[in-house]
Amino acid sequence: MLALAATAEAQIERQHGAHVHGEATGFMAVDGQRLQVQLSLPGHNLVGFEHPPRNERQQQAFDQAIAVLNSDDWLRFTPAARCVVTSVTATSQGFGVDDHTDSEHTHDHDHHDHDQSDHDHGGHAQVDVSGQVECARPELLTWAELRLFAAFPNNAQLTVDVLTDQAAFQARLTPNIQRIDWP
Amino acid sequence: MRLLTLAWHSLVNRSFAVILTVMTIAFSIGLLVMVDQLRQEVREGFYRSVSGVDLIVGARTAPIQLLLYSVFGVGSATNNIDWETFQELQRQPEVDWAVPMALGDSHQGYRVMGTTRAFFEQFKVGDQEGLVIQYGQPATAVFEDLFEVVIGAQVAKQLGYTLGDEIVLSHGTGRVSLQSHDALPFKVTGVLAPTGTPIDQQLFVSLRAHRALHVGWESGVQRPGAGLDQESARQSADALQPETLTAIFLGLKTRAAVFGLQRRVNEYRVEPLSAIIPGITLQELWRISGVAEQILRVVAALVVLTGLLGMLTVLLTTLNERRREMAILRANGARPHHIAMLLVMEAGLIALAGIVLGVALALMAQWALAPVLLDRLGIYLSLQWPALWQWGVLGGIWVAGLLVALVPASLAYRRTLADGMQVRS
Repeated sequence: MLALAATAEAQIERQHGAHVHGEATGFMAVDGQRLQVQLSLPGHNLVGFEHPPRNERQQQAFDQAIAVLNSDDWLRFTPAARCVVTSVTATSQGFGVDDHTDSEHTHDHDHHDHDQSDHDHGGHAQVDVSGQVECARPELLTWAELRLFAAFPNNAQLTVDVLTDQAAFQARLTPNIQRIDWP
Repeated sequence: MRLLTLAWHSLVNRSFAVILTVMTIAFSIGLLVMVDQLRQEVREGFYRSVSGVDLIVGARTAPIQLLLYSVFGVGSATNNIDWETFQELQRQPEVDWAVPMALGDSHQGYRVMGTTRAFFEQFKVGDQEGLVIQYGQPATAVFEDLFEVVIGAQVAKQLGYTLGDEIVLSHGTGRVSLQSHDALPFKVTGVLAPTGTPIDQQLFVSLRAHRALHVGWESGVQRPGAGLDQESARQSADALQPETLTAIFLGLKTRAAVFGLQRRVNEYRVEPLSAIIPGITLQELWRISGVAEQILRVVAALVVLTGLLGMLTVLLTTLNERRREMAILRANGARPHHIAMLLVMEAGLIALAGIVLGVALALMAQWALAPVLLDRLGIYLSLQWPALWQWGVLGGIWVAGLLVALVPASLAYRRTLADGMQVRS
């Protein structure tokens, strides 16, 4: 049994995810009044480098990016739905500054450790952003805006999977289209 | 009104050329309407088929591929997944329900799916409607006996099966199968209500029965004497654990959990798996087919344009022949603008007839294509009137027809003035 497991593991270690450089992805899910947003933004898109900040300028850029993401300014919804952003948490990975400020990050991933090591090996750095939103009238929600382009000129495209009561779809946001319209 | 009657009679008088023109326009309109209708209907049909499933899990493959073979029976799986994986997935805290499916057998060309009772209880189609067993025992009592089969509405209708009939399943998925599982006949114990989805085209047996069928078939053909008979299969029913599955349908407790689980499944180290969100994968599929649709639309629009130009040609060429007619009309008191109106009305009638006939042609094409799509994909095409915006487009085409007629109309207007003043033979 043990031997079997060992061979299995040896084979399995040759699985690699497809990594597209500079691809920002995310999802948005609406469950009743709760709306959840989660984004993975490559360091390249945010600050233009994917390593620990090496000088004052890079440190500043990094701090500023995290500050922008931690604010809820970039998230907008149909006003009629009366949505309130209850929390936004930006967590960086691979920037060396281990600012896991995520007290709210309570996912019990079995494979969390794997994820972590993967990113370090690959030499990529990214920032994960998680936002929680409460909407008083979710049925009036017809669009959401992710204004993540003006502050980050390197960010060219953001692909977001969206799940609502009515539909499942993928939205591709660009500097010209920052709005996700419900179909 | 009198002018309209006159226009009508004038058209009847030149019926051959007019009919040809009407046909040209009708075909072009028919193409235009059909392309859009089919697109709409097929998409609707696909969405209806997977409405209640949050994730589909299969062996690692392209998302579209997984969706097509697991739900629509198009293509087949490259690999199966392990039964233990199913059990692990079922145990995940965010999983509300999990329905396993094992494919590989058929009956008279219809797909046989090995599954569990959960399928009948959890699977949803259309507007979040559950499956209904129209005849036979309720979902809670399905698969009490090992050799029970529940059949889809279309299967029952096409093959004329009713409750209690005994049927034999075939190994493999071909229409004509030489190898049948005839040692283990199944009894029809349930007929599903029609859903308008691929489910109507399937037969359902329990996973254990699916396993029992394949004892001794490991090499693809039955080893002589290696199979089970019904009695021994029933006795060893508890030991008949499925080993592999084709795909798994998952329903989750919250929508937000879908993405996390999808990612974990895709990154699962023990077995290479793919998890897809049906709606998003369908969108991916439409993105590919959208290019072809767009081309068809452009072609259809160009054909409409050709039709209208054809009408213009007919109106212009007959203008000369109708000089006498115009002169007589003028002699009877028709004013030049009456003559011009007459031509516009004629064009309007031709275009209108073309549009009406075109819509009829589109409906006929849908009606003719419906059985093909039903057979290939299990999707019902319902005959639909064009949507409001389509009527808008058709109205626009009609107006374009009128505008086109302004060319001969203005020519006639000027000519009748001149003709009226000059003395000609």
